[in-house]
Amino acid sequence: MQDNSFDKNIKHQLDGLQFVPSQNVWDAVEKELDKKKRRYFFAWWLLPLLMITAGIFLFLNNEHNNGNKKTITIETQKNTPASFERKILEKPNQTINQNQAKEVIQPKLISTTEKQREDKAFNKLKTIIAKANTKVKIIAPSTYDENAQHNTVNKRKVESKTIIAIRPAIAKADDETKLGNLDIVHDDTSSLTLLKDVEFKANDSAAIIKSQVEIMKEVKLADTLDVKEFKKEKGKLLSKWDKQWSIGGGYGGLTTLKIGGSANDLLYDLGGINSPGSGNGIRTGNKYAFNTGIYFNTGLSFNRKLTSKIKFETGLQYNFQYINVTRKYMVDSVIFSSTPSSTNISSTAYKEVFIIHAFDIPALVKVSLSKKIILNTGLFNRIQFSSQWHKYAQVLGNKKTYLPVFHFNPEYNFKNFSIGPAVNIGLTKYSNGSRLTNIGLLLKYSFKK
Amino acid sequence: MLGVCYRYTKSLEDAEDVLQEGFIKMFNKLAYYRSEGEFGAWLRRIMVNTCINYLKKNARYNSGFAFSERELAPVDKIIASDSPESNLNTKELVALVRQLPTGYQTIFNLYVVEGYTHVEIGQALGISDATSRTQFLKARNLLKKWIVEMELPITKMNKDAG
Repeated sequence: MQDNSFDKNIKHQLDGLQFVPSQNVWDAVEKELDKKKRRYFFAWWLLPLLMITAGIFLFLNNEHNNGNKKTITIETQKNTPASFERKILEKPNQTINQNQAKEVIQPKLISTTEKQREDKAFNKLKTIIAKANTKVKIIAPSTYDENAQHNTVNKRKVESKTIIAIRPAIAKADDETKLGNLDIVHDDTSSLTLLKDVEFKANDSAAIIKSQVEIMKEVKLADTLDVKEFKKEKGKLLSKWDKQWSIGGGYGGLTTLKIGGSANDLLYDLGGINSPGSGNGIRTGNKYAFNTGIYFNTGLSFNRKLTSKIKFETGLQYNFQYINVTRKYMVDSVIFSSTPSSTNISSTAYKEVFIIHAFDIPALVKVSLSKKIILNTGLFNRIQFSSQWHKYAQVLGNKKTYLPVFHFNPEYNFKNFSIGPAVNIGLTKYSNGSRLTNIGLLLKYSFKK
Repeated sequence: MLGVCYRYTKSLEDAEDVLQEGFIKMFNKLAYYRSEGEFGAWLRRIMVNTCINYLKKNARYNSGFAFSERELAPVDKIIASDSPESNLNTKELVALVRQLPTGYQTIFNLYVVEGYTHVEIGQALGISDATSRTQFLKARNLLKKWIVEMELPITKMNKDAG
């Protein structure tokens, strides 16, 4: 009872305590709110701008590439009879590399009874090639890596056939049927998207083969369809993007290690030096804390060549972070404090572990500075979630779920490894005025050379 | 509201820092405020939470848990004051509360002034409710001891209540 009364009296007294804050507080609040408005505006305004710029760049580049790829090349077996001249099928008004443009016909397999069927088949092939309206390569078995071919090709005696490959192929599901005796084969292991396997019979006449060559010429002439229209129809734009899974993990401290694919070379928000700062005015930023932890990330990325030296990369990455926030050596500066007291210097350990899930949507460019040196730079759009994130955010004074992070990482490549320094800088500040800053060393291993 | 922040911090500058952060939070969260409750109470809750975050961020309340046995010795004498008009000077009392180690100070404020339960305090500070209870009792004893030593009239109030 005594205690209750004591508590009650104290509460009554303490509740009555009133102070008038100094003008500085209101000025600082006003300034901070203004800053926040500007920051908010900046972050969301930058993102669409980047996307639009990248889009225009990709579009223009795409047009440019298509202009160069409208060629048809026919390659041949080594045992090509001399009686057949090499023919270069060339599109009017376009230059092609004549060394690459070879044609070969196998005259040993002719069947007059098959003529009609073959004609029909090649007509259909012609249509397909015409639709493709892009670089088409027809190759013979000897020039082709058998091991790289699809099983259905290997099952047959490849040696006795002429394989026609269309690169990049355009035929979709509705074309994946037999066209006469043309088989369309999907090939995952090479850059060829589709193969057209043409088998000639032993008694096929040379005339038929020759007529087929003529058809090829017609194909060339028909190769004037509107590229854009075709692409719209077939929706094949993505085929120009290389897909790649990546997996990685690492330890964060001052040095961060990552083993993984080439997709997402990000140093996460662990390790490095965090300078959350506390308070405002002259006391801002006089505390330092060291965070350590491990992280794991995985995801899918897409990259495509913009020019011979520049690649654009985007995708979606999930990352898991186990962060150990330790403030063992936290020191408040007493130099600038007007009222230094024993509480200003503290070696108190603050230790807590956080588990955070996050998604990253990278928008990066990879620039080949030389054969061995690549510069990775751009923006990571990070979306952080989980209840632990909010807890961690409280410690950092940042509750933002969306955090754009600028990334800069030149890397030196040797064999499957690459190594280089990396820097991450958050584009939005934490509410206490500091920002995410990571610096470290990145080591990557790539399975695909 | 500065009074609220002042109770949880060790200097007026710190209190103003927290107040400032609290107001910024308030402006940012204004959209979430529903007019059902009292605005003052809502703002006060934001301030208290900001204070807790501030203390956590500065990791000071941990150090507050370590305290010498001498200072925690039970209050064995109560000096009664006869002055009937005795009113405890608020600022003196606040000064005493603020002299408590940070951990004691925080828990005492949360329990006595804000009316948090020990379970709630435990959750807010990341400690067990038993720790909160123990720390609170120690804080109260210490405060009583200091009041007695200063011969403050609060002892009279205790006596009257008893």
